[in-house]
Amino acid sequence: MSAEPFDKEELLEEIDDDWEFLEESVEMLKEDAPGLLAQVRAGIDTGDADMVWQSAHTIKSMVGNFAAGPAFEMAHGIETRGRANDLDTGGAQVDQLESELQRLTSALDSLLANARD
Amino acid sequence: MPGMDGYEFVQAIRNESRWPDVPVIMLTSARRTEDAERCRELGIKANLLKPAKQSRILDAIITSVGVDAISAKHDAPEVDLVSTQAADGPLHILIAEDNEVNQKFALRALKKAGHTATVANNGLKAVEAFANERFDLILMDVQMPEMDGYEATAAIRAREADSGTAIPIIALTAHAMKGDRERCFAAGMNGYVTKPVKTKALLAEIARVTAPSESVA
Repeated sequence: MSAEPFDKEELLEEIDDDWEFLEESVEMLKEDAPGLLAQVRAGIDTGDADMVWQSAHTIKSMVGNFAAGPAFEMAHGIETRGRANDLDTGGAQVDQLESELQRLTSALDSLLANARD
Repeated sequence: MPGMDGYEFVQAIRNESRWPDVPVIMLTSARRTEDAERCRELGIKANLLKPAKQSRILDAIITSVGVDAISAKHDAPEVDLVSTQAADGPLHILIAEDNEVNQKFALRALKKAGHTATVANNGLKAVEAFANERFDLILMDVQMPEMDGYEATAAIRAREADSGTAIPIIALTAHAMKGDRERCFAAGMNGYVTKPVKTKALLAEIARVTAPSESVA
């Protein structure tokens, strides 16, 4: 995982120096992500492919706002497999996505901390 | 893409006598070394890495339709390409979107352009809001709980059937499925913006669907 968790240039262009907005959005991301990840896991455990892909889709569209390429692609991968009713390797992919989301939110927190200095 | 990949699809198009030369721009999440050669073989004009920036897509389109990018920019004022002004001043917009982060980003983009907005958390609530409030335009997430964007659009179009009006509806989609765009238009939507939604792309699409020539479409 060498790629940056988000494209800083692209994010800053969209945010346009509105740090308060970014901070609120990052807080929402941190609040929503665990529940959505839990839904993906529950879907895999119970064989509910719809729950898997719909929750993964929501994660994907949410992290897209932060120009978070790697997390976007991982969520997209889980969504694609879920739509194809392929849940066999899903657990490992969710673990990967979970650590990528942690990496993303830490990096966003650092960006915000630097902006406040 | 599942079923048939992008190259197979382009190959199929090239074999169709109707569209042998239609310009094709590829979007890919990972560029491999063999891609450049396959793109050349199939006459693909550009191969963009996802997420592709609006400016790169625009450049690729201008180049692939054979317009010299520099002269095109020179002849047409840039405001035509990335217009952020609505046709008739501020609009009142219904945002049908279930995720709060996406709602927040969409609201911000609209407010920046001076528009006002109401948020509905799913398709059912969007249809309800449409019945109770007057809007100029709807941003419709395709994937929503309770009732999805296709069904909500169909319900809204059915309600309009007697009045002879047709509110512009722009689909917001994270582009998960092949044929999404066609499906959105077939469902009665007029515009299409892919997620993640970029302010410029959204406002340009709003300007396009509210332009006088589009309002009767």
